[in-house]
Amino acid sequence: MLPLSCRDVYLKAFDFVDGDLSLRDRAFIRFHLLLCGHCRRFVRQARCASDYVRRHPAFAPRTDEADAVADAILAKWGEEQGRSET
Amino acid sequence: MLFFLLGQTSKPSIDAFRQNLLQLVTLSRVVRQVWHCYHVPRAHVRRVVLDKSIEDRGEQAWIDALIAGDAEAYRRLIREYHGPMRQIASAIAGGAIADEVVQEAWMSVMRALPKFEGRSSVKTWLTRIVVNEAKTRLRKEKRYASLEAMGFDEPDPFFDQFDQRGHWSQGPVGWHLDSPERLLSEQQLNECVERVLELLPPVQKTTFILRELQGMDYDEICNVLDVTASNVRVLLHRAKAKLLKVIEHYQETGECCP
Repeated sequence: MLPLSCRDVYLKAFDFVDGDLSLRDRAFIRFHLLLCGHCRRFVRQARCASDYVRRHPAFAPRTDEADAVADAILAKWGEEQGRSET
Repeated sequence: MLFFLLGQTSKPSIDAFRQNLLQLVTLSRVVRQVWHCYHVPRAHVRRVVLDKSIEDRGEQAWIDALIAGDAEAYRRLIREYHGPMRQIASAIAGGAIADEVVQEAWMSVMRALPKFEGRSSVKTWLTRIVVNEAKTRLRKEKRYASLEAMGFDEPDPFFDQFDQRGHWSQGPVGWHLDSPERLLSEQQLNECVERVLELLPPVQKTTFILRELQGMDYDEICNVLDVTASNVRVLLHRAKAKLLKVIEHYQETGECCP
């Protein structure tokens, strides 16, 4: 009898992939994975999907406009400071 | 001992011995796969980390310069954090007003910097400011609903694939695009995943961005979003499961989900 069901493994799969589980949970999941091909496949896919999403070009924060924004904000800040001084 | 472990109690023939050996090799392959392929130590997980922590680089002097009002230090702060802050503003308030929200957030940062006490990291502090600014803006436009109330309504996309005992009734389908590189090479899939992330409920999207794309700790996410740790886990799981389902659908049909 497995200590975890496939649904339990599914619910912890993403944390398992990210290394966010306790030693006990990791051991239970590894034991389950030894015996369950469906869960092995799901965990493999979860890991692949996580890597894919983190490398997705559209999800990287934009940096191209930072200098222009910095100029605009500093100018606005200067105005605000000037107003408060007068 | 080996024969006993493999369930053989009498002295084996050569064929039985060979079969046992094959079983052992197969078993050792599975064990190796489980221990090595699926074990990703946290330190090795690639994350686009929001900052290579300014504090970690021992730049207290830089923070002091910020507090003293040094323009170049401000410029560097904005250069480093504007992109991630805009991402968060866009997730909560929507892309159309994200620029305005983040600009207001920067002005709040400038006003509050002299009082920055360093009780949290600069990253967490800035994130909290932009989240609050986005919420304030939504309240002004009467579009605000409690963040925690959103993102739990939808059913889990995989739950109908389990039977009553919690076993897979219909296992996950095999993927022909089975590596991140091969997935990244599919332009249509990239656009589809981008669109699906855009359509996630704001709190799910924000949690996903903070954790997956900006590498923030669970505690920090709870802190900036005022959401409990267990809810952060649920939100993150739902977002990831939804994106996984999209990829699965694309692998099966070659099309974006309906």
